[in-house]
Amino acid sequence: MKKILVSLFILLLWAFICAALPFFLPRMSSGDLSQALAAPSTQHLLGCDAQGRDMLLRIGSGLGLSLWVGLWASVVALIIGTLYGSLSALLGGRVDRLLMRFVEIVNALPLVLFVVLVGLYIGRSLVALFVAIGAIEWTTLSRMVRARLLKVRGRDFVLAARTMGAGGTRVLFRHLIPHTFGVVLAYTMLNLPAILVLEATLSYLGLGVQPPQASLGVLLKEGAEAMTVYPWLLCGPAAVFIWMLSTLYAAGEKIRKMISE
Amino acid sequence: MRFLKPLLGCLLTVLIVLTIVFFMVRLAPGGPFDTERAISNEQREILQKAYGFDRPLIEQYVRFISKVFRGDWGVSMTLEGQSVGEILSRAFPVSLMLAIFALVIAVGFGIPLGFYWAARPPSRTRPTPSHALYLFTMLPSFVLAPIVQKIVLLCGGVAYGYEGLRSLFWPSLVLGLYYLPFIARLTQVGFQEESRTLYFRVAQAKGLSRVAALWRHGYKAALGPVLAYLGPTAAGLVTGAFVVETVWGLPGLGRFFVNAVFNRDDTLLLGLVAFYTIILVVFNASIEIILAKWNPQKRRNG
Repeated sequence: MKKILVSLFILLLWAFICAALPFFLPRMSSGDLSQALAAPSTQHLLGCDAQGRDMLLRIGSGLGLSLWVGLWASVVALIIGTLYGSLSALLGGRVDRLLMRFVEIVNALPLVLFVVLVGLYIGRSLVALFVAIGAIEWTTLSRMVRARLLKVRGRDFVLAARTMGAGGTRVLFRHLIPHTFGVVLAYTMLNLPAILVLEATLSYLGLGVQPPQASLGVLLKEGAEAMTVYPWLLCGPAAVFIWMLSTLYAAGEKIRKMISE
Repeated sequence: MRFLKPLLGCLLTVLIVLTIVFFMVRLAPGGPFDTERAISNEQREILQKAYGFDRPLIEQYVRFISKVFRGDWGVSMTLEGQSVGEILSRAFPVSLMLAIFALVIAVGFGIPLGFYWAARPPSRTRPTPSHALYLFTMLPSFVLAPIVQKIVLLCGGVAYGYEGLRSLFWPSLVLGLYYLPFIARLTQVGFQEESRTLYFRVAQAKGLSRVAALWRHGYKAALGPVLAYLGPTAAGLVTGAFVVETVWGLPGLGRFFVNAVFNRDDTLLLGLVAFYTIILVVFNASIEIILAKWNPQKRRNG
């Protein structure tokens, strides 16, 4: 547990410093062309990219951007999934079956194609990216919310709330949805790595984060292109990407265990 | 009669998805003719007429659907005069073989590995090798692909371009390695649960070895989840293949898709999405049928 927290803390601190740095030391984060494609040295621990920007800083800000997109995509997925799932559970009957059938259909689709289609509407901005990712990652969540609500909706406290005159919306938001928080939180944490991989894949194909902004996916793409001659452009981002994913996997597993106990 | 219902379900699903996709693409702001170079209104009208965009949307929709089912997928808007059908028939075999090889690697090695872990007598002190293997799940194809490419290059191999099936080996290995741990894990969990059953112990008591008893009496129940997981895997392989194709410069469908998005090649985009949807829906449905045969208990009613 301690190891995971320390690892997470380092990652967040790194990302935070790199996000804040341009405001305080603008010269450090803009490139120095005399250092273009410099190999790792004591001055630039992870080397420099083609514009002479320090890779340590670029990876940090890329990390921050990836996590930022992942976070908001999770929030979007969470909102859609919770509402959809509770709607399905509460309406029940034929509507329920129809809604769940739709989830199955969505699950069977090549989702990346749909992220791109959503992107056609809102342009290729960061907002578009996380809305699109969130708009396809909610399906499993909605099923879990539905299953959880089906379990609790017949309990006495719901009846009590109803007897005291609470309306449907109030019962839903004040009494039922809080009951799903545990499951939802655990799933969101476990799914975060998958979302980050999706974001990186899209950015890698050039359909996600657009330059000059750079997430880890963009850095990996740039690194992969230059890898045969300048391997440090790939090694740094790749190592950090793996580190980030494994930390988040471990954290998600821990939370899942804590909740299921 | 038994196969009629899933078939109808498939058709309905495909129809719904095609409808959604059609309207999503057609109603999206901007259009295929909004290029950087300004074109005169007359030219625009001619173009729109040529592609039938001057008709009412509903009519376009009906034509699109009927054409899809008749196998006429339209003509690409940016790749001069090539029909979507031609592009598909030229590029899809490469993507398909890539995905099949990857699946064979993932399943062919994943199941024996998972079975091996489950079949060994349990021990607390020995760490499971699954941890080492799990590294691959954190190495999505776009991280692993360039690294493998570099290693192949260093060893004097060819790591770019397409010259027959031979050049699909490394790409499909990269693609398959990502799914291998999941399949191995599912297999392991499945067989471990089987090893707690009474009939497994009975089989052992009757003199079968541990391995033989576990496989012969357990495979049916243990491999069900693996079979069910193939559906999501296939969907994931599509995306993974796009990345791997880009890295290796393979003439598959990935490149066409990315270009179609960037250039707003609406017919090609629609065609590709429709094509993949049909394939995946059919694949999922056949898996469902196989699953129902495999384990009649899990058959879904309705």
